[in-house]
Amino acid sequence: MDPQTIWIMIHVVLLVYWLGADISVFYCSLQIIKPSNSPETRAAIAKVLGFVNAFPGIASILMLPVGLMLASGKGLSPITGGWLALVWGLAAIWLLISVSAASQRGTPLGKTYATIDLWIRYVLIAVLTIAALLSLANGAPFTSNWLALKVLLFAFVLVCGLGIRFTFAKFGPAFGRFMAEGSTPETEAGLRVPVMRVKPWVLALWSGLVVMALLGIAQPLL
Amino acid sequence: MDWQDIFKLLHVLTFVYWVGADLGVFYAARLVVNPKYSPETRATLLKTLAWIDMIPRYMLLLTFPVGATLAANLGISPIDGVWLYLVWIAAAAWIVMAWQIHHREGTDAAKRLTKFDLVLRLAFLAALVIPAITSLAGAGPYETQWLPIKILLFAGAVACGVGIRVTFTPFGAAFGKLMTEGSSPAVESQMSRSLAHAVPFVIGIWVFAAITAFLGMNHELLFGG
Repeated sequence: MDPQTIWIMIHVVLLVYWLGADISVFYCSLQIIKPSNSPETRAAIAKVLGFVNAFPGIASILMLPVGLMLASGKGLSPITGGWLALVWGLAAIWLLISVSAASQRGTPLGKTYATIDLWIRYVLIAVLTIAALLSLANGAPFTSNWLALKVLLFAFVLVCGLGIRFTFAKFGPAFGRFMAEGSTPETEAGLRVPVMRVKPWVLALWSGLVVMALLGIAQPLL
Repeated sequence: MDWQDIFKLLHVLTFVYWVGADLGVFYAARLVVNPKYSPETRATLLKTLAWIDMIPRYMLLLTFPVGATLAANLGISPIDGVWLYLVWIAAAAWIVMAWQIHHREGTDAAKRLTKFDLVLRLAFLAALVIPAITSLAGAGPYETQWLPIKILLFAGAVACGVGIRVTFTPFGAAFGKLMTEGSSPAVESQMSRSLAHAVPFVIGIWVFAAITAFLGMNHELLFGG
């Protein structure tokens, strides 16, 4: 069997656990800010949200090496052989850092991991944007324009992810305050505001993913 | 880029929201059967679960007309022209019905519709399986080998859905008791048992859906057409 068949499948399954899982996260966040739900109920829904939200985090990190795997198999990317192995190694380290940041949230070590994860994303956004723009202008490093556009959109999606992270940063402390002080107009607002502000970023991220999926399916000559 | 690409995207998205959304349902179900939570919390969790669960339900119904359109455009399916429109209308009507069952949950109308939905699903299964088998035997109506195999795998997922519905029926009754009479070991164990019985069917859906998707993405590489 052609290994490409397996990589295509993994590529799509990663989208399943990114985009498909995100809808549960989104709905749960709306239930958490509903004043008619008791603190215990909201804490339980927060648990569901926390569990499901781990999947898009992991899937988004694995998406890039798997995509590069497919691109090199089609001869569209210069990242092959040893370079591809290097990409996988870096992705594995990034995944470990990101998972550790989530699992040790609230500890000083968790904070350090989160900061490293943030810097990885900054660097990646810059590298992907430059590589995509160079490819669109000169036809290298990526030889097809649709792939270059996908790379650019991946950088866009990473930016949306950072937008979500920054707007949602206030939610955790607000939830802690809500659980300690109970429902007051202030604690409710503290929960509601980050959820409302995060919406545009989430919708932008989803749109980016759908357009990327279409580009991958159609692979148009642009 | 043409319409076929758009339908391919829709086909992938139905898979994405079918299996991806199921994750939230799966985890929330484990919290619903946790007796440590108050009945109110469990009721809200169940409501949240039921809302998310509608997404995979709609997707299962939507993926078929989208797939039928793709196959018709490839010229390998007899469901074409007027018949394809009929399939779309039937699927749209079925989705509206599924929404109504969810929306009117607990009413007599919803109960009647639920029964009708089950009969429809059994008829749908027969309509999927029989022509797929005759096609594999060489008597048509579907062209190619991969398409009838894919339809059979999809039928496997639909059958697992029916399995979930049947195994989950005692859960609803037990949950109703929990809400009116409070927690008791009998009620808790009935809910846990019902959930445990449904789990293999849930995993079955994921496996069937995944193999179906794999075949759809790779039929050219695997079957050469």
